[in-house]
Amino acid sequence: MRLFKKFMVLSLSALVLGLAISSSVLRTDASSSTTYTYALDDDYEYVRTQDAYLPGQTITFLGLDAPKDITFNSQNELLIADSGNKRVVVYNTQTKTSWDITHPEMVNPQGLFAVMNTSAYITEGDIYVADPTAGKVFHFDATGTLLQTFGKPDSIMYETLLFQPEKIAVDKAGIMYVVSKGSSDGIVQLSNTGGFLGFFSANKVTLSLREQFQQFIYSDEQLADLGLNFTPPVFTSVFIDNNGIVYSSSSSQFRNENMKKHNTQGTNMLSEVFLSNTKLIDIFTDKSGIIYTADQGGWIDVYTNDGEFIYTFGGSYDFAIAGIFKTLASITVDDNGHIWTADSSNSYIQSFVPTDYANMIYEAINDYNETRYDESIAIWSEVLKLNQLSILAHNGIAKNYLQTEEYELAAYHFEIAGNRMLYSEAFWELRNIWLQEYLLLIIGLSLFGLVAVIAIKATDKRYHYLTTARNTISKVKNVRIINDILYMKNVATKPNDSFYYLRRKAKGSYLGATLILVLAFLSYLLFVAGKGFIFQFVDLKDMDLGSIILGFVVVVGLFIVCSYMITSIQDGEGTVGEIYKGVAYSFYPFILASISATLFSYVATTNELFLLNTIMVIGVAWTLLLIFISVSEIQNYSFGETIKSILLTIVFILVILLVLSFVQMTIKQLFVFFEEILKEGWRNVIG
Amino acid sequence: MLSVKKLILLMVAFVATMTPIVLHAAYVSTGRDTDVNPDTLDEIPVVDFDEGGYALLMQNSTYEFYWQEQRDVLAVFDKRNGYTWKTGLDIDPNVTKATQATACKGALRDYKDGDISFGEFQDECDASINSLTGTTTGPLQANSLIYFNYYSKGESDSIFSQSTVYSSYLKSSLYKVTSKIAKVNNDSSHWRFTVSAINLGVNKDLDLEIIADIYLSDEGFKLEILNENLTGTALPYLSNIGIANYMGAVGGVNAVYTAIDAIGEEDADYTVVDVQEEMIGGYAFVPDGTGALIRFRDNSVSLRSFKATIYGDDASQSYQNYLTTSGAYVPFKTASIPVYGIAHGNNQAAFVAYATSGSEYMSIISVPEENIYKYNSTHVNFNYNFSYNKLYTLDGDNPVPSIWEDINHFDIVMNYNFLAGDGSTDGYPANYVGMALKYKDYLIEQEELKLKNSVMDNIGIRLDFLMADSENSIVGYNTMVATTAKDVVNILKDVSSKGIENISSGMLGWQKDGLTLGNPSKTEFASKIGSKAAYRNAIEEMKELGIDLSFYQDYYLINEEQISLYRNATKHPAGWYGRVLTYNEMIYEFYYARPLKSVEWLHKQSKTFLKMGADSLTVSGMTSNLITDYTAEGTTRTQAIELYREAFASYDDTAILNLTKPNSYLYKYTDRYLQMDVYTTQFLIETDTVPFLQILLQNTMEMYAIYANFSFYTTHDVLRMIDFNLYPSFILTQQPSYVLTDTNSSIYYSTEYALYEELIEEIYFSVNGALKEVIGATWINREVLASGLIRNTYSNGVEILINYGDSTEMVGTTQVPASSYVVLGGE
Repeated sequence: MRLFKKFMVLSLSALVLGLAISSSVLRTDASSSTTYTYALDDDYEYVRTQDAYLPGQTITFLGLDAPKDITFNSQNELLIADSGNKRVVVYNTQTKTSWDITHPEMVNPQGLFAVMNTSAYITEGDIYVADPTAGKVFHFDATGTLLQTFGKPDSIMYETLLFQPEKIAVDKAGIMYVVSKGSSDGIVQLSNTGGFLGFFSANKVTLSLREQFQQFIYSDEQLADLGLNFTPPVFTSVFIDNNGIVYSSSSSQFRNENMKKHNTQGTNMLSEVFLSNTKLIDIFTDKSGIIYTADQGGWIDVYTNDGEFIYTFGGSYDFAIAGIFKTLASITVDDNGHIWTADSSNSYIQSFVPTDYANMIYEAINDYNETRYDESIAIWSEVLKLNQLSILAHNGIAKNYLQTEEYELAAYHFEIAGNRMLYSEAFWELRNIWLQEYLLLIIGLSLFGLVAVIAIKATDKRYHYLTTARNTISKVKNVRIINDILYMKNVATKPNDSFYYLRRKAKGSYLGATLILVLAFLSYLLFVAGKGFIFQFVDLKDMDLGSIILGFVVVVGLFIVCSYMITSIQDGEGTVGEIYKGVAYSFYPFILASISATLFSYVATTNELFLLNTIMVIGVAWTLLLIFISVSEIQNYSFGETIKSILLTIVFILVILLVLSFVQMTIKQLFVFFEEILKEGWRNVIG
Repeated sequence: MLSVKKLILLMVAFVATMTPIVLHAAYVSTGRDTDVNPDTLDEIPVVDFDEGGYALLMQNSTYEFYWQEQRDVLAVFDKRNGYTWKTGLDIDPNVTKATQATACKGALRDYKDGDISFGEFQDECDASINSLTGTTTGPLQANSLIYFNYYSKGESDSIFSQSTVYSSYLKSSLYKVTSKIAKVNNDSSHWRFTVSAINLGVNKDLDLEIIADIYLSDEGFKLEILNENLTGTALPYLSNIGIANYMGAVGGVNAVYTAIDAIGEEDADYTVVDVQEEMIGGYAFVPDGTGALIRFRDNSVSLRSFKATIYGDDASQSYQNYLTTSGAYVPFKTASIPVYGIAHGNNQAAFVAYATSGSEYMSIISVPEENIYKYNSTHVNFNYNFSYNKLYTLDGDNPVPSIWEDINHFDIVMNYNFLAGDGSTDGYPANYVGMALKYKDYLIEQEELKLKNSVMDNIGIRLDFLMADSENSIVGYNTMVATTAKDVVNILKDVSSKGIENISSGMLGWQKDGLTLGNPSKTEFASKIGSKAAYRNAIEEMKELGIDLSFYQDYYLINEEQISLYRNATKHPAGWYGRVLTYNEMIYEFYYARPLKSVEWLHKQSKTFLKMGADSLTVSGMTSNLITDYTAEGTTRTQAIELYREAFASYDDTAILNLTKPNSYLYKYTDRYLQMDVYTTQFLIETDTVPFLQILLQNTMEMYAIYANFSFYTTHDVLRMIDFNLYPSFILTQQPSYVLTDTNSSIYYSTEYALYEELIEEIYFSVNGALKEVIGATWINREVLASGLIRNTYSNGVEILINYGDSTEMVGTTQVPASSYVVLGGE
């Protein structure tokens, strides 16, 4: 997201300053379109990809005034809610002819729905128009004759609420789903006679801990100043596809609420998807279930039927260039897959033609959904040729391989796509197959090994042929430094005695302690950076090695120094050297856990995440416990004194960190000040 | 029979990968296509020069030139088609909506009083008055041959606003303008038009005099405003001068006054209705990218005007000292030629206007209908001074708006050539093709272009290589190698073995630190990309195969990590280095190399390249950008052009020059035009894309399209290469593109040779199938027979029919299959 933020900042600054560069300064401007298409890479950063759509027709001659909604009817005619002209324009995109639907009461048409199939309750070609100013929904037939008008529902439950219909969709039973302007109660559900049935789905407010805190302490004005709004987001559009599935869009900071695919109870089936843009104003799905959204920032985003992000393109600048919007107001898609959009500020209609690249992607998704896996794999392979960075294609191809039980290939592509969840599934299968294949062999080898060990031990007792080896090992163990290091094992198992010997200098050494700390750091680094793909969320190259080293050294170092300072004023008996050794020798469980967890991560799947976490928790807890004991033993503290000493040490550490950061900030500012002066002088006087 | 054209090449059936998946019923043209011819003018408007205050300036075998003194309008009567072009709308400013309303009221009163008959009432009142007369400056703007804008200080010294002065007379309290025309040296083909403005500025103490020389000839007319002919105290404040603002403008609204008879005299009245003048067929041509047409349309919404600075905006003459690009939209296309034109009707009447001096400060402006005066109008203006944010503080806060201390010094020379008919008599049809051919012939005459008449058997192909680029690492930068010198040799050998000929190749990021951080002032090699010896061997080895291998270098954009800015980067008048913030992965702040430095580096590197055996140089950046340098040893745009021309001229005999999107002043030295635009910026008002640039340059240099890798590889795109006479180009790497994911080169997201191997072959042979028949011939006509159906005609008699549509089309007896082409004629 880092790149995206930069991109947004740059875009915004261009907009604010009204700056536009008209010459090509980038090294490539190769694109047939006017905007770039962006997909995601495995770090969830946007990457450029082949153009998905090219600007098609630009319709500036219909005399529109602030068109707010567009949709196609069953005759493939484009209906336009021409709000400023109080009419609905029916435009034939082939013959380029149009006619108007008007009604004296219809003063501000903003939402449209065209009935595509006749049922017992609705008739193909009928048009529903939502008018917030009139506070009504108008029901016209295909010729533009008014059939029904629905005003504010006559229900006690709705009595105190305003009825300002902005958007509308109608299901096969004639039930109307109405987005009422400014209403945060949910989508108004009306029967085919206009009776109030209730609210279909409502948006929720999900607050982070910080937001909850802010809500608790700030006044409403202060919250507004911070740009925080904790009222449930209002819906901006509603759509019903041919299968009767309801989709809705919202515009808010609550990402999970903004694009919804509702089940019959109104629950969102797309709650955990990546949402490219959040200020959605319209939503549409085509026959294959591909979801298209329009964003207030002029972005058009496309998602699979499962809500997986495919790509985004567009933008909002007042350039009057095809494909770049001043105010994107509505989106719809015709039978040929062409996207049609309305710009409500510049009052024109713009279509977009899908490229072969986009069509290939849709076909591959469709093939997968309809279980034609081989065909899907073939198309995804073509897509990959056109964009080797496409995680969508890698994911797509891998999902097919998962179905065709080619797990190795599936795992390979999931790994490139950074899809840990599904990689884990493929890996589980691979592990399973491996186990099935080698389980007997492993058991056999283990048994054989066991028998062999017993046999060797038994025979060695009589023949002593292992004596030389044993002596060698013993010699190595008795090398001072090795012995010193290995002493950490004793510390871990018998801490009280071991710390005593450590203090009395009978066991362990400073060099040993230092090497243990180095070992601890390396095993920590191994755990942080070297886990198996499923559990390794950050690449080594994206890590700041300096910060990791500094963090480790500072935390351990500060603890030792602060602990010494605190204990020395608390009648502690230990020296700083003893504390150093005590802390260092406590790291054995941590080292063991880090290495074991890292190794385990290579054979584990997400199902065993708990086990991996448990190993680490035990390792860390054990080490902390040992440090606690070391303080107690070295300083000769009681339990209570030890707790008090450690708590004071922690407080002292925090104080020091605060002071250090303040000093660092001041030095940095001073440095920047002098740097700026030098640079300025260099540039303006000499340069 | 020689005259019988034979079908020599047939439809090329593209392989499955290149076939569109979705088939459409009928071809719907978009702004990226050329639509069918505009409507024919049924009636040619007749101008009565005996009336209306015209004076004949001169006539020759082709034209009669008239001058309307009161309105500053030069009228050109073309004897060939009887069409009259005027430099302004020629509106009588004395007959206004106000005067007509007074007349109607008076006549109505007289009629009601019974003093006059209804017929007399009608005679007095019925009239159609141009709505422009409803405003004070409307008629002046529409008539004036010249207008100028100047900066005037507001209440605060720091606030600058622009005021417009029209050459047509205006007596008001604001300022006063007088203009006159006079014959020079008693030569009826040379007239001097003098505009004097006084009482300018807030204190009314400024004045300006502009002298324009008008030369009349068989081609049309030429207008010159020499730098020395601009005088007056307002000169430092001069912002720009515009010429023939409404020449060829179409549209407008008339206030139609109609007397109403009534049974009872009391009910008699008159009405005023605004009536939009019916649009005639035709368009304005503007040089946006490859070339755009702006058809005359009756829009119902107001859209922004088109404005393009020739050779691109000057980053040093912008308001801010920095520019920002967004990753969202494709950069605007540059107008690389100083030419525009207007066509009225269907191959009936047109003019092409081009600058032969001052083009570096020229802009082309096209205003769509529905904006302000409801006219489609297109004209040029020339920039003299500009406003910018002057910075005083360290952090750049509180900038002060200022204008620069001096104006740009240059001579304006604008030529207006007129075209008549379908070109059957003179080869210049009155459309965009004729405009291109006319301008081409002018450039050939000036030896800026030279017909190449190449004898190659097959077309060329451009295969560039992306060698290496840098990414951030834990310490400093890490060079990521995507292709080595050895890889280049292997790939090119492989391509060559497939029968592909005339390969030229450039290596991007060939030096130490790769594309973004490689120092343009040095030639440092890195063995992991390619040592000097490895490159030398590669060049040698490729030569033996007839492949031209060269080093690519951008000498325009630089960054601080790559080279010191001190003495290398240009400065903005604000006092700071001019910079551009881009949307890139690693380095996103770029600066501009001083033109003097660009040239110095070019020479320095080229010396090494040529010594290493390279036959050609591949240059980018400085070829398509012009910048003023405001350092002490600064250069103007004009000087930069001279520097660049001199620099490239020195290689005219020693090296083949591969230039990326060169501006027109470099055409003389360009052997291969790289990355040629195939589209326009696609402004909403641009209705068509036309291959103007390609018609202009075809047969004078090899023209290579944008890289096919990035959204330019489909059947439709291949057809466009054939239609626009462009040879294909690709950018390749040996390694997969994701090697460069964290570098600035991540924008090249699909480059691996293994993936493009087949496509290179397919596209090359498809394009070659058509274009090899016209190598060495000149493109003489392009017609749109139906939507999506194009016929290109070449001087060797070959016709190429291109069908972009999804259904088979018939042209005469020839069948052109869907999404395919047919080559007809030739020997």
